[in-house]
Amino acid sequence: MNQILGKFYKTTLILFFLLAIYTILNVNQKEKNILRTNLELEDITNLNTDKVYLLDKNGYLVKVDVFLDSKTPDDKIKKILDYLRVNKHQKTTDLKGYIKENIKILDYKIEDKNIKINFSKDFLKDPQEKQVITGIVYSLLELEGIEKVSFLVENEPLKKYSNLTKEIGINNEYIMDNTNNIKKIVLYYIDSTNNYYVPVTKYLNDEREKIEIIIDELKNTKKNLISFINNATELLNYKEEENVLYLNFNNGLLDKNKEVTEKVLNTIAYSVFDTYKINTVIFEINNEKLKMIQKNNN
Amino acid sequence: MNNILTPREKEIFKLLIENYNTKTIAKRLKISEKTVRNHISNVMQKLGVNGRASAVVELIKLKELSI
Repeated sequence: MNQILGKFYKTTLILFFLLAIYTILNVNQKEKNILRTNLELEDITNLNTDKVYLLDKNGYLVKVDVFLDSKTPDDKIKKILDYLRVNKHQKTTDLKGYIKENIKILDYKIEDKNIKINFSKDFLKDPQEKQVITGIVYSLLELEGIEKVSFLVENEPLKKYSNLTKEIGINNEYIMDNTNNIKKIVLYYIDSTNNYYVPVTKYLNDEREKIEIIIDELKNTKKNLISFINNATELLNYKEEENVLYLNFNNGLLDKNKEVTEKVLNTIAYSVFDTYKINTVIFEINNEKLKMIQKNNN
Repeated sequence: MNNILTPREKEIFKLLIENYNTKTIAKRLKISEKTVRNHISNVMQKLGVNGRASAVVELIKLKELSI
C-alpha cells in the first residue's frame, strides 16, 4: 500500500513539475511574440503605443513599441523608467534594459518641458553610463511635450548631463579622417532579427546634401544591421517647401513585386525626421505621388 | 572633463568644423597662423590624440563641440 501511495505521490509531483515548466515556457513565448511582432504592430495599426529604447544582443539601442497604460505624465515616466530596468526583459526577449537594480530613482519632476531625474549615487559607478544616459534620454523624449532631460545624483545636478536633447546622438559612429565638410546624419536600419528600427547617428566627411548621403548610406547594409533599400534606388530630385521634404525616386525604390514596403519608406522618413527639422516627407516615384509620412506617426 | 577647452581653443575648433582652414581662422581672429596651430596642437595634447579629426571626434564625445 505504501509503495502504491509512494508511486502516486511521485507521479503527481512529476506531472506538477512538467505542468509548471510548460506554463512558464508558454508565458515566455507569448511575451516574446508580443515584442517580436513590433514592426508589424507599428506598420498595421494606428494604436497609440509608447516608444522606448532597449539594448539588442549586438549592443545597439533599438526603438521598441510598447503599451504602457498610464493616465498621468508622472505615471508614464515611472513606467518608462521601470521598463528600462536591467532584469525586466532578459527572460522574454533578445532585448534588455540597462538601468541596474542597485540604482534607485529617488524622484523626478517636469519643469519647463524638461524631465529632471534624481538618481542614487550608484548611478555614477555604472561603466555603461553613457549608453544608459542615451537610452533614457531618447525614451523620455518620445513623450509628447518633452524637450529636454536632465540628470541629478543625490539632488546634485550633473552639469555634463543637463538639458540633454537628441543632439547627443544614438549608437554614434564616427567616420572622419579630416575636419572638412563634417556632417551629422541619422540613419535608421532594421536590427538583425528583422523586428526593430535602429537609429545610428553618423559623423562623416561628405560635401553632399544630407538627404543624398542618407539615401546612399541606406543602400548598404551594415554589420548586424539591415537596410531594405535596393542598390538601384536613385534619388532623382528633392525639394523642401514649408517644412515638407519631397523626395522623387526612380523605379529602383520598388521591390520585385513592384511595391514599396513600409520598412523602406519608414527607414527613409525616420532618418529625415531625425536629421532635419522636417515634419512631413512626401515620397514620389518618377514625379508621381506615392505616400506621405508625418513625424507624429513614427 | 567639463570645460576642457579654453574659450580661445573652443573658438578655433568651432571655426575648424565650419570648414575654415588655419589661414582663415588666423585672419578672422586676428592672430598668427602659428598661434592657431599651437592652440590646435595643445588641444590634441590634452586629449591625447593624433590629428585634428580625432580631436574633433573626442570633443563631440565630450559634448564640447556639436555639429
